[in-house]
Amino acid sequence: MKPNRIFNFNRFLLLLRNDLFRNYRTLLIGAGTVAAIYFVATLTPMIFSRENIGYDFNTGFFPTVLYICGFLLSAAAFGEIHHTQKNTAFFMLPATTFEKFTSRLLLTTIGYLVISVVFYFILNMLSLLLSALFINSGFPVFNPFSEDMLMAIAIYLITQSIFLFGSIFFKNHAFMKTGLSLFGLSVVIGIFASIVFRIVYHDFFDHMRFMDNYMASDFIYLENFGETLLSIVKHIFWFVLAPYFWIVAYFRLSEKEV
Amino acid sequence: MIELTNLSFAYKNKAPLFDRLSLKITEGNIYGLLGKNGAGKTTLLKIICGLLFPQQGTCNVLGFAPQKRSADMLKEIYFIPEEFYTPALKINEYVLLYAPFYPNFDPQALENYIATFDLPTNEQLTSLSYGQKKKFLIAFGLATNIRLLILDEPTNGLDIPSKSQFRKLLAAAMDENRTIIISTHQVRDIGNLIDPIIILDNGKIIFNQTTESISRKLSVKLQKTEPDETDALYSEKTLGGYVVINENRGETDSNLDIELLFNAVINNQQHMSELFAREA
Repeated sequence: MKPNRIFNFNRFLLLLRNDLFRNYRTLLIGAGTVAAIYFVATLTPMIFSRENIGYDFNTGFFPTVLYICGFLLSAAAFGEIHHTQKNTAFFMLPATTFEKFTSRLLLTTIGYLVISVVFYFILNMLSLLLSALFINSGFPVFNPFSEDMLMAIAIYLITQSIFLFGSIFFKNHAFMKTGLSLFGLSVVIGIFASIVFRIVYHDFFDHMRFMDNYMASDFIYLENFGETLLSIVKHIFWFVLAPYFWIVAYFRLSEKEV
Repeated sequence: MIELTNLSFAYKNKAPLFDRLSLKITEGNIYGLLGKNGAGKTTLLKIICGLLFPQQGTCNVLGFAPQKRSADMLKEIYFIPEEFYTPALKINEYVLLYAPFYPNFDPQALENYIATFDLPTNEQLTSLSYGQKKKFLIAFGLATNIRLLILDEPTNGLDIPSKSQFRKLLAAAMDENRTIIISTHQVRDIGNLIDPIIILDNGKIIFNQTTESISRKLSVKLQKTEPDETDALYSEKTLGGYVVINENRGETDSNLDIELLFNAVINNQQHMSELFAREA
């Protein structure tokens, strides 16, 4: 059988092992920081006011940690290709660009999610235990399969693609630059959409003020248009955004010179 | 093994470095790539490795286009740049993580090389000196048993005994299927090792000859008086007289100092190329 020249599973596993082994200390430091913040946030109310944290704590804390750490990790995934000495070692390693890309993609998506969920679950169980021991009270249990958590995970899987692309596109400070670019892009899109809306629906405006004396039929028309637009944006977000950035990031990596 | 044809390359917003450069490198030799600072030696090596892409022309390395960075090509090339990166790993950890990428890696050979270079095995690579790190990478590169070993300034940072060990290891590691390219300014460190010698100047290959051809074509002698400019290809004032390079008109081969040869080629390009073209 002819060997696959684009993807070799053994090499892919070697790359995964290589990346995990070389970066486990950084991951442990990150995990330690998250654990410290988590325990400060959950144990402080227990110690000082003998009360427990709110039952919606996990739905706010977990996605926040997931996004911040995940985006930082994704934005640093290909940082070495911009480093004058590390880039030679990266590109000269005998594996295809596709294998190198997919190994980092897998680590920053599925790998990161699995580790995060398991780690957060362990932290949650420890807090549960401490809560039962010290204030004899219940504690909000982390359920990674709840609707809110699954939605947070799905949104992470989509949005991390932008930061992964940023790690290849930006030479330094990829996290900050990607974040700023997103903000800038949002502002530009927002202004552009407002101008287009103002021009197309000029009948509904009195100068820059949206009139409230529109006809009911006009309102339905506007509402329908809004729903259609929202549906298109949702479809782009869920099905186009991540593959687009992954593909562009892969080609950018292939064309990267030292 | 390596064939560059009409290759052109320019860094962004800079004048072209290579313009229609052609070069053929065959198996079983240790090539010495020499040139002044900024001549394009490192750039040429990076193009061969697929780290930089030519804008025009073709580059063929072991039957591959290097810019595609095929895994099949990369597993046959080992490149040690002048400034290199070593991860925060111990030697055995490095071997565990990187050796499996090279199918012909020989752990016993690595052990021997490490012993020859007297490298500490229980310390992190990042805590080793520059010279020790370089020796480790040379040892690892030789142990991979790849077909093309590319070394950029390999003797920089090596102590005196290590330079001698380096020469011995390299000579011992050579076989007819392997090619080594050494780019260096320290020509005295590798004087007896390299053959053929390639000299690059202003992005052009101005000299590409075997040592056998060089010693047959050129003669070197020491004389007390200043040589006649029309007769000598190159001369340098030295202690007690002049060292002079002339066309070898006698039957005897002469052993030429590479530094002297380099200066002769750089300073008298036209005469030298005419002289060597005559035979061709």
